[in-house]
Amino acid sequence: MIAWLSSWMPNVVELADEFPISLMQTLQMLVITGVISFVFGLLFAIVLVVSKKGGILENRIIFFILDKIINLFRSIPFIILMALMVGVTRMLMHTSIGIAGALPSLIVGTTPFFARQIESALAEVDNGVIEASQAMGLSPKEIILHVYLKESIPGIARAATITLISLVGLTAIAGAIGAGGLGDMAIRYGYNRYMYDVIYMVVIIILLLITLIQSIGDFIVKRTTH
Amino acid sequence: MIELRHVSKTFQTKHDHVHAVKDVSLHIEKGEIFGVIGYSGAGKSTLIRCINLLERPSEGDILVDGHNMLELSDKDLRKMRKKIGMIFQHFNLMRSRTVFQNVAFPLKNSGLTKDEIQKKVSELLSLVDLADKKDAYPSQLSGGQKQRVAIARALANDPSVLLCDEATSALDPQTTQSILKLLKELNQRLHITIVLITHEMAVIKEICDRVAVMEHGVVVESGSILDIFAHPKADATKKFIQSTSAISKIYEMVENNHVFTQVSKGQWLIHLKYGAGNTKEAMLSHICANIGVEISIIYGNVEVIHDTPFGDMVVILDASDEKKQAALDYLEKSGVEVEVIRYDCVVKQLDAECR
Repeated sequence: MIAWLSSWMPNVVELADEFPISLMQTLQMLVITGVISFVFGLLFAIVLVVSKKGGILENRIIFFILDKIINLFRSIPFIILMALMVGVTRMLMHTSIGIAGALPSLIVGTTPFFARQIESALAEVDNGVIEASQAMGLSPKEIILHVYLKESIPGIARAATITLISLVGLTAIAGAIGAGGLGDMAIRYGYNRYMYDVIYMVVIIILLLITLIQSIGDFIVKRTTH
Repeated sequence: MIELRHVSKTFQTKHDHVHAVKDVSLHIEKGEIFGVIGYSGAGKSTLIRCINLLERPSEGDILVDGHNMLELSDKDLRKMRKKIGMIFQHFNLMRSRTVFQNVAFPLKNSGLTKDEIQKKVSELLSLVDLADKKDAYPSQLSGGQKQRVAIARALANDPSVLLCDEATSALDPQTTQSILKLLKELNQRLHITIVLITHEMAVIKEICDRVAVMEHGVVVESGSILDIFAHPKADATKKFIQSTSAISKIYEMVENNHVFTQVSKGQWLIHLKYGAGNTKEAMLSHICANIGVEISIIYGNVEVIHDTPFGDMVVILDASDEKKQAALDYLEKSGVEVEVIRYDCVVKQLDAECR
């Protein structure tokens, strides 16, 4: 088996020890960024939905500002965002390389996307249901917690799946400027040193990772949709 | 119980103001079923939503149980809203919750224990005849069942008022009947005041004690259902009443000179309107036997509103002019409203509102 593999993928076998390390680095970036940007994304999405015109806590100024900030950050390509944020990253993390150096950019790059995805999930909650809750005498806080969030669990799970999958792409880009991870391996060995078998292996691993994320997402959506 | 004083609601759009409700004053008594009827865009939905302040009126006052709704703090308003149940055209149930959870939802923070909530919800579900569906999700229910769940939910906090915003408009006629029957039962058993809005006169006729007719944001006529049906004044009211009977069809046939409505020389085509109580008397046979007028019936309809029959009849009289006139005099004396539609082949100028 090893002999067969090393004839087909000689570099992969040689670098076998590096793959688990890279995978762990990618997973670390995914999980930390995913959790933090989920929290902020959810928060921003809720603020957007309740403050928009006709929302339960309509506030045009807050909506306008948040809406524009999200648009601004969404329109910056990620690779430029990383370059743009070097100063901030150094200040916050005391380094601009490695996982720590990639996290601020990843979080800032992912949160607006996450916020928009969750916002559209929350907006799907039937306005009539919100109205019925108001008619029942629920407070805005109760409506957010027990109606908006509870009713849109499937939509939020879908948003998280899409966001995590695109986040895998971002971690690979982050790898290109020295964050480590699978993207870094593919560039460093595969692209720069012509070890194409390393690229194939990275693609296979990422494919499996994304399939896993999608399956978990689909499972949650299926379980929570009635 | 509920009093609206000079309520107006203006919506601001980009280009102008829309006056959805204009200076409406209504008094709704405790325990009655009050209907508001109007075509879409008449402002009735805005009006009912003003009662629990889902829509804040631009002007006027709203009193529920003696409390001025507009003067309540947010917290007191929420407390008040718990005592005003509301159901909607599209039911507005929560998809992620079962029937049981939907009905139990308004009881959150009500101070009841889990067991008490369990008991309360079971009672409510058997009240609306859905005890066997408590673990179903709304997506598994029919429209009528969904509305029953919504009614149970609206009743969870023992409200004194139930607002029905086009509650039967999305339902088929048979289901509408069963929901109306349920509302009537609830009104009688729980003495709950019901305010309902609709665009269907049949709904008003079925359960309302009193009705207000709205057009272009204004209440053009209001009163007891019997008065409104027997003596409608506003054009809009007359149109709604005709919408529940086929009499407008007859007038259409007259206009098109349909063969059924043609009369030959010496014949009159007349429309008899029976008011409350006089449908029982054998007036037509009296005319036939004692005055000697031949009668052929073109159309007849009797409706029962609040156990009082109302009727419309279109007949052709055939006899000498004196006898026909005597027949008309007799009918009018007996309390029947008579209108001659055609005489001697000539179509009488038709009432504008009948077309």
